[in-house]
Amino acid sequence: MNNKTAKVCLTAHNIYEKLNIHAKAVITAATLFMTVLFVSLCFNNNVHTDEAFSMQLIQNDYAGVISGTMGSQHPPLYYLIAKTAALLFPTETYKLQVQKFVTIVPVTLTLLLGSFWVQKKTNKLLSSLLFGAALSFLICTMEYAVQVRMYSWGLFFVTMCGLEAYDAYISGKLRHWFWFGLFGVAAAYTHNYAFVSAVIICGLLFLMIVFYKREHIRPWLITVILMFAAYLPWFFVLISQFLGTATSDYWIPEITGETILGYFTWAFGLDTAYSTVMILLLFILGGVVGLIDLCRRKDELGVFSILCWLVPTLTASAGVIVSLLTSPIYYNRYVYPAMGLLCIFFALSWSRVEDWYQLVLLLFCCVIGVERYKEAIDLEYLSTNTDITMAYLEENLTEDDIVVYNWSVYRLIYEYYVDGDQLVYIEDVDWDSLSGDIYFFYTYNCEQISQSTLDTYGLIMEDMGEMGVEQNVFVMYHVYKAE
Amino acid sequence: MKRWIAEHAVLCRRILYLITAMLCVVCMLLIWPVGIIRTAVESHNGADGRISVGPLSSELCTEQYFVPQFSYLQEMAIALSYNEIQDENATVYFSIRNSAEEDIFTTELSILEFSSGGFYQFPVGISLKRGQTYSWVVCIESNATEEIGLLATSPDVITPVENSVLCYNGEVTSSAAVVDYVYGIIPGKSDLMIYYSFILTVFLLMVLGIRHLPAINRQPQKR
Repeated sequence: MNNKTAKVCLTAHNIYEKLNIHAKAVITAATLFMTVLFVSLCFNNNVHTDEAFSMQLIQNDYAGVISGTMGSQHPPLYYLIAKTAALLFPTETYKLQVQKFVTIVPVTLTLLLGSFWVQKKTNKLLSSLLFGAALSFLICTMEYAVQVRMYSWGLFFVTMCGLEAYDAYISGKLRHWFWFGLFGVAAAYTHNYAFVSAVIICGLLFLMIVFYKREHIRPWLITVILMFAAYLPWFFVLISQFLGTATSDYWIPEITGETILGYFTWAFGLDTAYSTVMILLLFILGGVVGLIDLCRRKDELGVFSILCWLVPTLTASAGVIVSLLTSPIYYNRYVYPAMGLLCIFFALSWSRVEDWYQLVLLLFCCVIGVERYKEAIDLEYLSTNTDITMAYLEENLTEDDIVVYNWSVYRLIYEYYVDGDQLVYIEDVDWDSLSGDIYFFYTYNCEQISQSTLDTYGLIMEDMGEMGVEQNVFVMYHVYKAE
Repeated sequence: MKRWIAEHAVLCRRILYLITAMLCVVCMLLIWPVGIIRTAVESHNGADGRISVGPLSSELCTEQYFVPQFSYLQEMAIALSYNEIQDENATVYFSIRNSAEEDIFTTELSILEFSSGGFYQFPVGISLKRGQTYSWVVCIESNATEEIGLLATSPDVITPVENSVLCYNGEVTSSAAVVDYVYGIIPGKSDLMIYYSFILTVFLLMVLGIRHLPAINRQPQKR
């Protein structure tokens, strides 16, 4: 190495050393930056069906929330958190924003704690940043971080459960067993497939203990028994919910080869052609690099990274297999809580290569991040006519008027925006007792108000143009009595 | 051989770097300007107001004139109308002509591929000049007596912006064909950025691999 090259290397090393000293500050700054990105996606008034369900459910008291979730297909923890947030921040105007912030908090925590964990284990700042970039940019976190649903909380609990499992396995300290158990139970109470992921983590930990550290069998057994005891009250509800979905005509489509391929597109895909393949390839190459290094070093962290990959893989596989054996009960997003561990796998696997290449990967993640953020902005702000529709209704809709809609499944969403008493399905309109005007949301290919009805009741139907709510585009008609 | 490689490790490494770099450049050029990856953009009719223009035969053909909106026509879809298939060997002859009436694309499609009233999509893959007038011609060779027609829209219904005049047996009709033009668009700047950064990432991974390749990093054994 000549003097010049040596000097450059030394300078780079110094910079890196300095960065490493302030690793926590860099990680915190990166996490804050990503949080700001997520927060910037919150300032809209869009809710889709499931979000409308969440918003409606938390209007009940705590007992109502629990009984409501018993009737649906989800455990209650997320809704209880959301309800608490709604009580702590009572605002009518920004109630949706409050709930969106509630879903961002766990993603921020996962980014922060996960990055610290990776930094501590690998002693590489770049690896920890790689974890953050993978979680924020390579997978569909931008969408789920601001979705008023339980997935981001599931992500936090499952990721932390996995990381604490590793720490408990390595150190055997009581506090790690405690946190492992607590996060596992919290995951199980957040989403049914987060429960599956927690069970898989328990199972993999058991196998590792049986093969390599039998002295940990007792704490493992005690923790698992306590976890099960804590989950027992909901376990029976889970069984009844499962029997309900497995026997009834549930909404989840049949699982085919195409559906399974679609899981990857959902997880990694952008509008850019082949983006799924490119991102998936980086995960696969990371796995290959990790495996090669594992064969050489045979270290516990290497084994852990492979186990981190197994958690989402086995969770999805379990869902697919049960669906094939019974009836479809698995949908792509159910694996999301386990995706944090996939990003841990990504960061740990690539931590085996030189720093400069990790920097290259980080830059690639950032390029993907720019595109993903653009798409998230489109999804949250530009793919909807909600604001126009709301402004129109605010200006025109009076107490005597009614809003008629022709797409029955969207009632839940319309109810979020329009008073339920003013909302009437087209088939339920009482034409004889109309006192005000009708604002008709005409969704294409659904029932139209017939000309004979208009003639019979002396009504005029005026086309007000294309409007919409969330991703439901409809034509707004103003129907009123002819003078 | 192993010994030779070990003795000329630097040279071998440089050759491998060069090959990898060339591969990287070739991949980049294939994406732009060649355009092996294209995004599909469609221009097609709605479902309303369909009529049948025909009957079609080897003599009686329809010719739809159109002005492409993009420079690469990746696929097309047309729709036929018939009651039932009497002759399963019937063949649909489809061709695209330029303004000089020369065939620049021809294909033969089996009638069995079509369902009455539904789109049948087939690959085209030709470069066109955006803004110039072309035409596509549909003829049918069949031994059956059934009437097969090309689906078109009634005059008051919106048709793809590309469509101009539809002729049947050389005479201008008042309709326009029901059709789906699928263009292949070369990636935009942000997509190119993703592809190029991915290629560079993989290229640098290969460089990393070459640096760690045991065969060219082994010291030659001393005798």
